[in-house]
Amino acid sequence: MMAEATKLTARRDRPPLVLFELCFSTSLSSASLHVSNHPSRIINQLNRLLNKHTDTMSTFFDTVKKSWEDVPVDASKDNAISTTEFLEAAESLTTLFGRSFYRIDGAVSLAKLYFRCPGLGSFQACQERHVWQRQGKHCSTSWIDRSELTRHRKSVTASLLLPHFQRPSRTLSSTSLRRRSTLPPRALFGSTGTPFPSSFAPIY
Amino acid sequence: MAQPVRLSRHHSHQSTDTSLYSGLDFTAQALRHNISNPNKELADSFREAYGNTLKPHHSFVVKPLFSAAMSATPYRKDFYAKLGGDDAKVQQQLEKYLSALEKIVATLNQFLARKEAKW
Repeated sequence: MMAEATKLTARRDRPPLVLFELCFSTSLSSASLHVSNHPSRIINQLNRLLNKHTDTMSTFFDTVKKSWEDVPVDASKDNAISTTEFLEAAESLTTLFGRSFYRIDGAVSLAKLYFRCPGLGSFQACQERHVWQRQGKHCSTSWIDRSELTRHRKSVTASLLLPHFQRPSRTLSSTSLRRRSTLPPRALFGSTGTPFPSSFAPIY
Repeated sequence: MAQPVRLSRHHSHQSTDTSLYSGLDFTAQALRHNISNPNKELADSFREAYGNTLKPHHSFVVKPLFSAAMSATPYRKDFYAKLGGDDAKVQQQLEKYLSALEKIVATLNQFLARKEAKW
């Protein structure tokens, strides 16, 4: 049931195929008949297709979640930028670097690594800190920066600048240390060699 | 238009958010360069912006990789076609969007240039 719904959603860009699938699954697949034939599902799907193809004049900026024009800057508070709107606008900007942004298919992964992921990684780090600090009602980006600087968390900052290698190294270290603590007689090579395939191997 | 502050390598690891701010500056400068130079391809604009923003922060290992990634940016005509069907409307909205982004980036850069934002 879920697989079929996912398939329909993923193929929205090809309306004739979707319509064909709708008709086909409705008429032939008795197992999924009661699900795919549900009127609300079909109507929602058709409405989505209709909106997609009639609204051809909409642009990327119409569909963006939050524009930079909507980010308030409070001049009375030393040009304080509201963090919630700032992060939403930054998240929206990363959608610009979607799959359609890259020209060469073979270079998609490399380009994605350097265009999209660092921005998203930094954005997520800021967002997590914002959620944590919002309880204190300090919601400007400059305040968050100051708070990090006053706490001297240089190691966190430095590691966040390399998000792709930080996570596997943490996984390797934690897994190997865990194995070492649970299996004392093993050599160090044995404890670090085993978690390597699940941490660094996929990115090498 | 406020000119963004060019950060040196000395100021590269100021805070976690600097990475995000540099990315925003990089994107803003690339799009502005591309709008101001209608004959330039997107890859040229991004290379130009990379030299002004992120390049000082990257090591000799990352620089060639990033330069290779620039080649994957789409052609100019394809990029603007993806942004919307009406080119005049896209240009108008992009100008507004970019001006707002540059204003935010300038504010952030002014903050980062202060002594209290360095460690």
